Amino acid sequence: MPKNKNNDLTNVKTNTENDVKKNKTINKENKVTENVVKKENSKDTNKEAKKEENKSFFKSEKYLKFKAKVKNFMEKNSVATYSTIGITLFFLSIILTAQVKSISNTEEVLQGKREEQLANDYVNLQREYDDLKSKYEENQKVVEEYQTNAASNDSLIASMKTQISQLSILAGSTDLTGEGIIITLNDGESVKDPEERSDAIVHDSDLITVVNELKVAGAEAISVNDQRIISTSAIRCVGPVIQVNEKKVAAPFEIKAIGNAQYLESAMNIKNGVVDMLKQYGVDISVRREDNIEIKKFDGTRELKYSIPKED
Amino acid sequence: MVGILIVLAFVVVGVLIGLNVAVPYIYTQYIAVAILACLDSVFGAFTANIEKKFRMNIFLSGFFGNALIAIFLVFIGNKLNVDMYLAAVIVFTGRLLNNFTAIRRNLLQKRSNDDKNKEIKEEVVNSEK
Repeated sequence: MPKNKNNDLTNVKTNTENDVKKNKTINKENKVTENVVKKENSKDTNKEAKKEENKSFFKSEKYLKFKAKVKNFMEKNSVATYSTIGITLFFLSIILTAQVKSISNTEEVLQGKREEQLANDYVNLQREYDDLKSKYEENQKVVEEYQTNAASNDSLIASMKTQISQLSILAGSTDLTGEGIIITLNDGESVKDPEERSDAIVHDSDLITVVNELKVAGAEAISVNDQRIISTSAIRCVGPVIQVNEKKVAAPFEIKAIGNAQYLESAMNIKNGVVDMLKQYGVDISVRREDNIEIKKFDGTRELKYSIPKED
Repeated sequence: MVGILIVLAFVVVGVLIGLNVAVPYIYTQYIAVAILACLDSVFGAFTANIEKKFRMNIFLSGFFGNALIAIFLVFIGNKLNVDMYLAAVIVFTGRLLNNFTAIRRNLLQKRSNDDKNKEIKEEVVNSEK
């Protein structure tokens, strides 16, 4: 080894072209001698050969030409200058686009608000959120309770459904069919003196009496000329015609009532009853039983503005 | 031509990266001022280039230094509860406008000079005839 080293050293020394190179090679050789003392000579020489090859590539004419070309190109087009400008513009475009994007992404509500305001809003929202969350949890508990009592709830729902259907019949919001009676009223022909108020004409009071009598007799649903009588229905004289449920109806009147037909008929035809009385006045009135009467639902509007259910 | 291509490539890459970067809303104020400072430097560079006074080191230091100082000022303003960014905005916008003015003046001056030269040349040609 030392012989080899000496040889190399002398070689390098003779090579007076490049001082730096010389120093480098000396260093390398020193390292080799220090670290790889135990290594075989053949390996050492292999490494040397490789280095030589590399050096030769970097020294080769092709590479140098290429390098010169690149250098020429760079200088001619001042690539370095434009690259530095490009890098700065690169940063500028990054922050510009990021800024524009994040500004357009943030909600408009946030824009133009100061930090304290936003902090306040945030606190308020947080509080609201907490409230809602506790409410949600309460409701969640209720839901759970309901779920555990599902069986009993089913029966409850069924009873509620039947209740709803009954109430809708009473409220007049469904078409109905069933047995009952139909009463027809028409003006009598005994109109002789137009100035005198004739009893033979069907008045609103007559209709009211009939309807009232039907209710007493247990009619479940009543309609006058297809106007369903509900809890707020009114029957009133408007000039020559009669107004039922804000609709004007005229003779002949047809009053339908669903209920126990026998009871209803007998209640109407009772002696000194409504029918009897109206017949005496001269009104053309007839009562007939039917097995299948159709009564239409209430078709007006019912907006309740003032009555509020009292809660327990 | 190559230079413009290089710059364009950088800008395109920057835009693509910027599209994937989200700035938290708190920092948008700082970034806005920094953008103004950078734009000011860029247009300052344009002006200097037209006036043949462009120097790379001045441009670079101005570009990054101005942005950092502007951000720092805004930061201090926020700490002191003074809307310092307004000052930065006003100053940088004013300088931007001044730069625009300088660029415009220079370009117009060049054009009118060219016209004059042409006229002189024509006159000379005519007189020679």
